[in-house]
Amino acid sequence: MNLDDRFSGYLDGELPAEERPEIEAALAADPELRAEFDALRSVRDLIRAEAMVVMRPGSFERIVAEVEADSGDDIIVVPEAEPVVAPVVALADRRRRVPTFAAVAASFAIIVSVVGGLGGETTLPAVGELIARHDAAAADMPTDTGDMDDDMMASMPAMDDTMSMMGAEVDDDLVHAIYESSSGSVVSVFRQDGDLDVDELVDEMDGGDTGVMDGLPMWGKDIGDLHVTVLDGDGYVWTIVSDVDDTMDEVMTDAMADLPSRSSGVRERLHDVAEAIVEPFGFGI
Amino acid sequence: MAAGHPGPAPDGVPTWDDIARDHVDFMYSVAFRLAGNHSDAEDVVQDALVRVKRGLESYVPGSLHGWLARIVTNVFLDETRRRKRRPQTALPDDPDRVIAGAPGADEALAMESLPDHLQDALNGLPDEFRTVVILCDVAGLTYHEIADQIGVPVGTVRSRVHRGRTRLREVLS
Repeated sequence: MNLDDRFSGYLDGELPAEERPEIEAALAADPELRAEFDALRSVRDLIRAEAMVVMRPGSFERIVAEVEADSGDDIIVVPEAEPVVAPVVALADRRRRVPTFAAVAASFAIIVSVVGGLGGETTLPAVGELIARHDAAAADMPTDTGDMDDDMMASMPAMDDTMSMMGAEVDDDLVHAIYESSSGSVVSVFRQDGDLDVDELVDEMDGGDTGVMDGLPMWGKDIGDLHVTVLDGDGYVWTIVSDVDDTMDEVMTDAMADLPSRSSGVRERLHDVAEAIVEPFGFGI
Repeated sequence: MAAGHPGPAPDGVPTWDDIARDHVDFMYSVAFRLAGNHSDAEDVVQDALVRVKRGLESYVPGSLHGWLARIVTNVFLDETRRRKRRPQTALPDDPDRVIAGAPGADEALAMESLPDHLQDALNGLPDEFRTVVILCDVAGLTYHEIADQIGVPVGTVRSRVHRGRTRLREVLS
């Protein structure tokens, strides 16, 4: 690293102690470097001196009123106060015996094929790894939740009677929610950043069905006892893994129509699933 | 302290009212420097205050401004990502979506009446430089805190702070 690259670190007291004497000696010996250093300090001092910005008249009152109105209804869960770094988190403390995904997540490297091009990034979900995550989570699924108390239930994201979120994990850009229906079917919903090239996925997975669902390009295939559906939408690639033994349309009906959502469209339902993890559970903080 | 206000709880954890009253200017300054305009800064502060309200029970007394700055920055970054993924231009057959228009008259007036050469210079920086400079010099975060916040090594933060300030010096001089 160049000497002057370390000036700001020195200025902010962020340079390792063993590097400071070198900077100090250089500044003492070279007037030009000293002048550059002084100029940087002036810039820093200017930013700090002029940092504060005054709100527009009436803004504070309006914001407070809207926050109070917004937070008076469905606060679901208290997020972590500190930022979550490398967040791989199960909802174990929210619900009794939900799957503990951390060990599972640590054992898999998510392989995502990203192909650069004029049209942006293409993301191919690593279907095999996602199925493994689904299987591991499903195997750890509790068989009874009979002694779950009301407080625990109340702390869960809003859900309907037939599909309940049983666990969640976030691993870099991968968001994974696992749901269990009242009939015992287990459904994983994965979200990753990027845009899907359906044709590439067909090649990668040696076939599969393609189509459009609610305006979203779609790929689907039965793999073993599972049905896998991948959807492209809004800069995300969605992968739904379900053990529902049915045709694709019925799978999607069963797996997605009952997902908790404020909206009716598939696109909105999927976004709500991800946001049920990312926002209330504090991964965004 | 304002008369009649109960002040922070005995355990040192401020109430939401404390934060909204005493620290919103700090939050707003970070938000404005990041967003570059009043309307977006107000939206960021509003969402950040919602997160503060939800997260306050788990706040561990320490660097309150550091905690608030991280929340404000995360709200801003979340919104930035969301906007990049969801185009704002209206579709002809979708009356519910709104075409992004020119700044409102009140905002234009506010911006006009508050010339801000520093903000102009900050707006001219690439995002990766602007964010670290603001987190360092406006929010007061340490390089390690910034590194954790944006997910890059500390050395990268140090380099970006330096390069950001160097570019600002060229613009402001």
